[in-house]
This record gives sequence, C-alpha cells and structure tokens, in this order.
Amino acid sequence: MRTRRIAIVAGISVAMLLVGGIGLLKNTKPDATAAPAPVRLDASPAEIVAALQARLASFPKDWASWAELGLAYVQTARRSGDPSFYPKAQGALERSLSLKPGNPAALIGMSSLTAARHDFGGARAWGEQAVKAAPYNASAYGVLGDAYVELGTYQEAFRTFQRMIDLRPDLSSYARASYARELQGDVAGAVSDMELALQAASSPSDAAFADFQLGELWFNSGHLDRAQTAYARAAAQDPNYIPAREGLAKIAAAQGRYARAISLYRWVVDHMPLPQYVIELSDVYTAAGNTADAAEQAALLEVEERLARANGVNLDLEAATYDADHGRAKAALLAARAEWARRHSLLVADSLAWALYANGKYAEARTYSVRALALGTRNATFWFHRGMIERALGHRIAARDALARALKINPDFSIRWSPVAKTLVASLGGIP
Amino acid sequence: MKRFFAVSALTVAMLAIAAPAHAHPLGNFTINTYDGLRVSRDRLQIDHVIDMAEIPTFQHRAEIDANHDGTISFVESSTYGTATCASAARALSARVDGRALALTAQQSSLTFPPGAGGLPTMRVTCSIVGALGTGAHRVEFSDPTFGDHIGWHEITAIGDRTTLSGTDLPTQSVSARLTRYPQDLLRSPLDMRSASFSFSPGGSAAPVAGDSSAPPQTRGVDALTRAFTALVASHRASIPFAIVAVLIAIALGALHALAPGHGKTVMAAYVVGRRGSFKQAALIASTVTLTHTAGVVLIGVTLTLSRALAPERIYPWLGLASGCLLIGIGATMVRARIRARSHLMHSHDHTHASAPMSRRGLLAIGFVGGLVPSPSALVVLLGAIALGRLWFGIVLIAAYGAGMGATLAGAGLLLVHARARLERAHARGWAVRSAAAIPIVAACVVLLLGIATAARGIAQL
Repeated sequence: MRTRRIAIVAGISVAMLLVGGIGLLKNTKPDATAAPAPVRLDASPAEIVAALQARLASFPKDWASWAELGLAYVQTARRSGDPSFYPKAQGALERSLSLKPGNPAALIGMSSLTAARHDFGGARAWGEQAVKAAPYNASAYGVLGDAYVELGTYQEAFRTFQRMIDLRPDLSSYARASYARELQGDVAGAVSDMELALQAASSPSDAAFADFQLGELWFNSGHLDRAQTAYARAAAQDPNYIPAREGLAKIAAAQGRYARAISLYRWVVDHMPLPQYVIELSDVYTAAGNTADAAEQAALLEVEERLARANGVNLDLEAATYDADHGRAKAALLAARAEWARRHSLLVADSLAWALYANGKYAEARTYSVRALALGTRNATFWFHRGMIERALGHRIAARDALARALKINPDFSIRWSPVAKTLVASLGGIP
Repeated sequence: MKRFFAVSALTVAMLAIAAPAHAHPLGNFTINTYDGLRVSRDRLQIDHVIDMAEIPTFQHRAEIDANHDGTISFVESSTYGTATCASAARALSARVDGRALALTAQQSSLTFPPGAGGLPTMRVTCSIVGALGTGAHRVEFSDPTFGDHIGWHEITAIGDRTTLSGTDLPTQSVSARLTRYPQDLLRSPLDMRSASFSFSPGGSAAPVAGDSSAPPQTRGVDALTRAFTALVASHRASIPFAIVAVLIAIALGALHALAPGHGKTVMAAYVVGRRGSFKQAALIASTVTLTHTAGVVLIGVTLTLSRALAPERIYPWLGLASGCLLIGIGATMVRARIRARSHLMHSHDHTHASAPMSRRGLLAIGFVGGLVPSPSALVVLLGAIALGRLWFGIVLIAAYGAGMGATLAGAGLLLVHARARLERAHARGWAVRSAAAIPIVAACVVLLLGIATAARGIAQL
C-alpha cells in the first residue's frame, strides 16, 4: 500500500518531468549556442537531469529549468532511494524561487519535496500556493491532492484529483484517479483507470510504473496470475525498477516457492533496503524455517530504525506495525499515536488500531479500525486486523466475518498472517 | 602491511565505541567505488577503493564475521579485505589492445569509519596491478562491481612516466578518493563505469599514490606558469621562439620573487644592513641563480628517475636548512653590530657605522635565496623533461633563477639608495639616529626570519 503510494507519486513526477523535458525544448532560444541536445520524449529521468544540468551550467538564471531540475532530483531520490538528492532538490527549487518568486513549477516542486520528506502539512501549504499561482496547472492539483490523501482529508483529495483529470487526462491524473477509486473499494474502476494510465505512458519507466500499479491492484484483490504478468511486464520494461522485482518476489512467496522468493527478495533488499522489503524478506525466511536469516533481517530493520532516528526521520508506519508484531508493543503504540496526532489517513488509523490491539486496548482499537475501513477500502490486512480485534473483544461472528472477508479479498495477503486467518476462520465456524 | 594491521585493529576496536552521529553524505545505503588508474611503462596500477554506507556495511557484516560470534576479529577483517580485493581484481576488466590483462590484488586494507547512529561504515582499499608490455598501447578499462547499486562511481587516470591520450578522464579524484563528496547543485553522483585511453612511454613521474591525492608539483603553481609550460610544450624549438621563452622565464622568475615571501626581505635587510654595492648585489643575484638552477635540476632529475622521492618530503628539509643558514647569518650580523657599537662608544667615531660585506656572507645569503626551489620552476623543468627537451628546460630554469636573483638583489640595492638619500637629505637629527639603528634592526630581522623559516620547516617534516 505504501509502495503503491510512493510509486504513484514517483510516476506522477515522471510525467511532470516529461512535460518539463518538452518545456525545455520550447525554452531553448534559437541563439543559445550552448543549449543542450534536445531531450527526447521518451528520455529517461537521468537523461533529463543531465540535460537540465548542462543547460543550467550555461544559463544559470533560467528559473524554469531550476524548478524542473529540483523536481527531477525529488524524482531521482524517490526512484533510487538515495536521499542525498533531497538537499540538492531543495537547493535547486529555492534557487528557482529566488530568481522568480512564486513561480508555479517551483511551488509544485516544493510540495513534492516536502511530501517526500513526510511533512504533509507543509506539502499541502505549498500545494495550495501552487494552485493559487496556477489555477489551470494540472500538476499543482496533483501535488495538493496527494497531500490531502496523506493527511486523510479524502473528500478534498478526490475533488482535487477530479479537477486535475478535467484539466489534463494523462498518466499522472489517471493514476491518481485509480488510487482514489481503490481507496473507495472500487477495484474494477481502479484497474480500468490504471489501464488508461498505461496507455498514456510515453516512456519505458512510465510504463513500468503503470504496470507495477496494475500488478498491485491484481495482487491485492487475490489475482496472483494477472499480478505476475503485470509485474513481469514492468520488470521487462525497466530492469532496474525495484518495485517490480519486489512484486515478483511477493508472488513467489505467496505460491510457496520460498527459495525463489528469497533470492528475489535478497536482490531487492540489496538494492533498496526499505523497511517494508526487509520485513517481507524476514517473513519469508521465517516461513521457510530459516530463523537465523530471519533474525538477521530483523537486526537490519533495527539498524534502519536507529539510522532513521539519527537522521531525524519519522519511523515508517511499517516499522511501527512490525514492532507491534514483534514484542515491542509500547514503542509501536507511541509511534502510531504520534503519527495520528499529525495526520488521520486510513493507513495511520489501521496502524494505530493494530498497535492498540498489541497493547490490549481492544475497545479503542476497534474505533480506529472502523475509521480505517470508513471509505470501504477492500484491504485484506485492514480486515484481518479488524477480525483479530473483534475476536479479542469476544465478538465471534464479527471476527469470523472480518477474517473471512480478508481472505476473500486476498487469500495470500500476508505470508505471515494468511495462515493464521485461515486457522481462525475454521475455528470460529468456517466461512459464512 | 604493518600499518594496515594497526589501522584495522584500531578501527575494529572503535566499533564498540559510540561514534558521533553524522549521516553518510550520500545516503545510508550507497556503495561507492573509485578506481585510480596509474599507467607506468611496465605496469597498470589500480587504486581501487570501496566506500560502503551504514546499511550495506551492516548487510555485509555477516560475511565478515565468519564465525558468527557477533564481533569482527582482526583475522576476520583482514581475511575479508583480502578476499574482497581478490574478487575485485577478478571483476575489473582491463583490455590492452583488445587482449585481457591479468590483474592481481597486491595489498588490501579494511577500515570501519564511524557513521550515523553509532553505526560503522566500511572502507576497503585495494592495490591491484597488471603487467604491461613496452611501447604504446590502447587500454579499455571497466569496473562492473556493484553495478546496479546506487552510489558514486569514479575513475581517474594518470601517466607515470607515460603520456595518456585520447581520453578526457580526470587525473584527480573530485571526491578525494571517496572521502569528500561534492555538494554541487548541478552535479549528480558520478557514474563512471568504464574508460579507454592510449598511452605512450615518456612523461613526468606521477606522485606516489596515497591519501594525499593532489600531485605535489602542481601545488603553488600559478596560472601564468601553467600557461608558460603549455607554451613550451606546444611550440617547435626555434631560435626566435627560444629567445622569447627565455625572456618570459626571466620575467616569471622576477614575478615569483615579487610575490609575497620572505626572500626579498632577507636580501634587502642584509644588503641594507651592510651598505652593499652594485657589484655585491650582482654577486648575490648570480649565487641565487646558480643555487636555484642546481636545486631545481637536481630535484627534477631525481623525480624523473625515482618515484619514491616526493617533493613535499624534500621541501621541509630545504626550508629547515635555509632557516639554519639564516640564523647563522643573522647571528653573525647581530654580533658584528654589537661589537661595532661598543667600538663606537669608545672611539666616538661616526664615519663607519657599517662593516664591509664579506664575500662569504654574500655567498651564504645568495645560497639561502636560491635553496628552496620554486614549484613553478620545477613544473617548467618537468614539462621540458616530459617533452624530451631537458637542456632547454635547464636554460629556462637558469633564466628563471636569474630573474629571481636580480629582483631580490635589486630590491636590496633600491633600499640602500633610499637609505643613502635619507642620510644626505637630513644630515642631522632623527634621520641620522634612525639610520644608525638600521643595521642592528636589519640583523635582527634576518635572525628572526631564520628562526621562522626553520620552525616552519620543522613543522612540515
């Protein structure tokens, strides 16, 4: 879910970059002898970054290119996971804003950057400025809507996305529309919107992004075969697109092919050790009976938490959930409550519910679980958590229904929890 | 090897201590590589460095900790270092005229510099070597290690008594061998994976590879000298061109002497203190020229013949020597002044306030003036040697020294004239009294400068 969120924003950035690349062509003055080679329409993000760098070396006062470069750096940091691009992005965007105060492209870039750094309130403020500065710029509505989603103000988010798609139906707006439908439980609509996004993709990395999103939609609704096809297509489009490899690893794990899953996950974790991937690998090791290697990954996760604290970054929600699962219930609850104080998104509500459950506060857990499912999202993990909470509260029927619902949405939602859910459904009287 | 043991033992010990928190400049999960190629006439030497941030270091910890006891022993770290360098030697590819060159790892070192959150990072340094045949060749190099991993990947190349061509590879590492990553807004992390170039025998010696990556000859070299070296290199030798070049060299030497430094002060103080004549000044100038030329030629030729000699190691010694000489000269001057003054008290003789200049003193001061060779002159000579024009180089250096000596001695003479004028213009009163104090002040200045020069030499040793 989180990967999907990241990937959506990343994909949107790709699209904006492409628009930037076209803008670059348009901005090139005929007398500019030192102008870079024209950027192709299907240029890779790295090529666009290089072209912008070359242009700015010759025309350091080109505020539009500084804004495009800042946005390209945000995108590069997201794709590669290399956070050293964030300070660069900030520098480039600030340069653009100082050359041309209030220019929409830089405001959009700042919104995207602050969101990448998990300051969603800041992202909303920048996004609102961008919309005010450029009421007909689709990208401005895109970043503002993203901030609304993260902050949990969904009605504003969906309105903003609708405005975006009205202004410009393209990959980034279709992808956002798809996400909005998925959040509201309309999986078929989400799939068809994402297929539109795929058709609008103009570069291999855009196509890989859209295919991966399709894979996620299929996987999360329990269609392993279709998901596998989509992930494999994404990996073929862009061999270095790490989420696609993670998708393939996830499929292998769900099919019980642990050796293959482990080798795929190891590649993923070697290249981008996001907490989510580390946790998934640890779970596969555990399922395969390899406790020593599972412990090794758990230790790696602790290292990452330590680094996050040292760098002043909020713990990821995944890490909080993992803590709740692994005997650090108090720390998990602290992290989840702190996040809830900042924003009220569905994911935070579910994390908080699960942390409260781990701490034995079942009644309070239930209220947050209800909030997590308020939009009607068809999320197997959310329903599994709901079932466990209902069971702890002694609501046998509600527990059985929730757990069965989780398994109906996606029988393979978690290599760790799916078997638990199946056993409990049977013990609670079988599938209704 | 001994140093490697000490360093790794120390850093392994440091793992236990909480380190100051500063994030890896390139993010916590980068793996960065550097290949410093050094092409000698008989071999290709690769300074291969791997810099791993906190997370990959942790991920490799299990591999390093072979017995899984949770600590990395000295044996484990040296085994891992050796193995890593051996596999790097297999992975790197160098093709000479299309044929693969066998590479072997000769030395390895593994350290764990502290990173963020009290976690260690890892730095592996390998010395990898392949044998080259004689003559000119084309080299294609590539480093596929950690190919798809994010990070900084840098290659540099330098000729060591060979000349590289057909390449725009940098000769110096912009990251100082993965220790200081540039924070330029317009620069993405480098992603240099391969390089190709040709080399031919002949060229100046490259500095010894190591942590001081800046070639010492280029230190203190101004743009003017670089331009001059380029000029010498780019023209065919002809008589008119040679004359112009010599004139430029004289001017450069004079400019060098005019640049801030203590040389002029010493000369001026000495000559003024001793009421030098034009003839004496000329003697100083020629001593400076001779000493400087001989010094530069000696160092230049030694540098070309042996790589073991690094100029930055010689300079402090020369500084110390010239400082000691200056102290000696200064002390002699002070003693002579004190003696003259007590003599003055007794005889009330106002006519000869200054002692005549001894020939030995003049030679000594000229020697001091030329003893520390100017790095610019060294560069000019090395450039000439690289072009196979040793004699022309020596002529240029001599011209350079002459320009230097003339300026230094001239500055002194100018002051002597100023002093004489001062005395004539104000035959009585404060002028005479202050003029009488000049010799002792000058002597003290020489002595103090000597002490300062010697101290600086010692500090740099």
